[in-house]
Amino acid sequence: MSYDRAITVFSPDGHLIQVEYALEAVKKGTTAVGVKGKEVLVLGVEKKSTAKLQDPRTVRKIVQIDDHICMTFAGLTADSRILINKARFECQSYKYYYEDPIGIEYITRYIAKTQQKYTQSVGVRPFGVSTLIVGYDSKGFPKLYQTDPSGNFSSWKASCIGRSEKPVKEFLEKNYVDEMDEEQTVRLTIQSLVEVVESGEKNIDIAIMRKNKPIEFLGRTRIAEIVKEFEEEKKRKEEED
Amino acid sequence: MDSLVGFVGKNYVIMAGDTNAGRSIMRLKDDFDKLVPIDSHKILAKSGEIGDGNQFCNLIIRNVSLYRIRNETELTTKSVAHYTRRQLATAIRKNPYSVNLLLGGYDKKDQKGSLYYLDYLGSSKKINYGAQGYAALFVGSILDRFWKEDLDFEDGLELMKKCLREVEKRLIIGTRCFLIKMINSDGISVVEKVMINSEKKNEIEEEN
Repeated sequence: MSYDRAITVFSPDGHLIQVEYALEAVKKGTTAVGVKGKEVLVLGVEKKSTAKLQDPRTVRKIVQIDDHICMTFAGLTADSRILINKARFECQSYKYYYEDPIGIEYITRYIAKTQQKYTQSVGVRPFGVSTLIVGYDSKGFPKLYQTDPSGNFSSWKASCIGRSEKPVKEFLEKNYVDEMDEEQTVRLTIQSLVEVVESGEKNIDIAIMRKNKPIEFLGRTRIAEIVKEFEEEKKRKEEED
Repeated sequence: MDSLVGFVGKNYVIMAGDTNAGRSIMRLKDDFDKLVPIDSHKILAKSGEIGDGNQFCNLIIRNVSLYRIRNETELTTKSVAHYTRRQLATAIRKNPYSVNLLLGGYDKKDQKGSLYYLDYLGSSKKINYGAQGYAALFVGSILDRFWKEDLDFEDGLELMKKCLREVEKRLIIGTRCFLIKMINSDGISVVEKVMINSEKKNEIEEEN
């Protein structure tokens, strides 16, 4: 008897197979990285290479959920749209009732709760999406949260989701330092992506979230500059060796 | 009891509301802001039942924000007016909101200001100048006479004060304090909080 037909069924060894398959879908998605600095949050995404005739601007992976909260995802884009929509609605709904802007942990919990609901409902499948959510908490500290199709969520200093999760996470674990300033955080994010993204910096999007400021997307030229600096540094190191 | 006045000028919209909040004969609050910002370039001036005004304006603000976050662009004043009217019209035969509104907004695309008159029955009309509440009785004729298209800001402010002076003079209910706000390309700004005191002309001599 196959235990992966309906998601409501546990397998004999205690797995929800459909949820694990959803995680596989996430592993097929393009990479997304989030890094927390001392007073800044940076999101980086690998953009899927667009076909020649396709307008690249319509493919946006870093989205705003509210004025002070941003997120990105890895996995099935269409599934993510549903989650993003629900999250956006919840942010406004919270403000409608409480007049305060929603907390970053609150909205993460909400998104995670939604993802979990779909692992325990009739006739639906889990979302094939993991998300990275960034924002500042009520005390003003930067926060990075990750959710996955099972409905788990946790806070991270730096994290990666998508197809290059392993190598990028290893890179981050080796090179992450606490309390980085904005410049260092941006560099670390770009560096972690450049290694794994095919066709280089043209397919990278970087977004910076500063406290009480709207999100800023780093310009193409600036990304190219930073990547060039890495390559020159690499060359120098190789020449020295 | 509420007095709201608004008109369109050259690249701006000026709106004023009295700052009284009351219940029957009692004044509960004298610093009540009835000109609620919906987004960076639109004001919804509310009059009528205070609770309904709060709830309804909150609803409109949240839905306009949701649109902005979802679509990464702001709604035009015309669209907000239509949306607001739709909410009032569907509510009137179920759970009416007792609010009359003036919606003023500046659209960057047209570089023009616009003003809409909305009432609790679900009427909506684009107007150049208008008022809600008792002020409408007095202010209508003044604006009919003195409003011109493309008034610049100083003239507009003078005209607004003329209207408010008339309201203060003729309304038996003491409405002395008004808050004037202006919307232009830079957004919403509070122009003045005016206290109007019409001169006392006749003094009663005490008989000894």
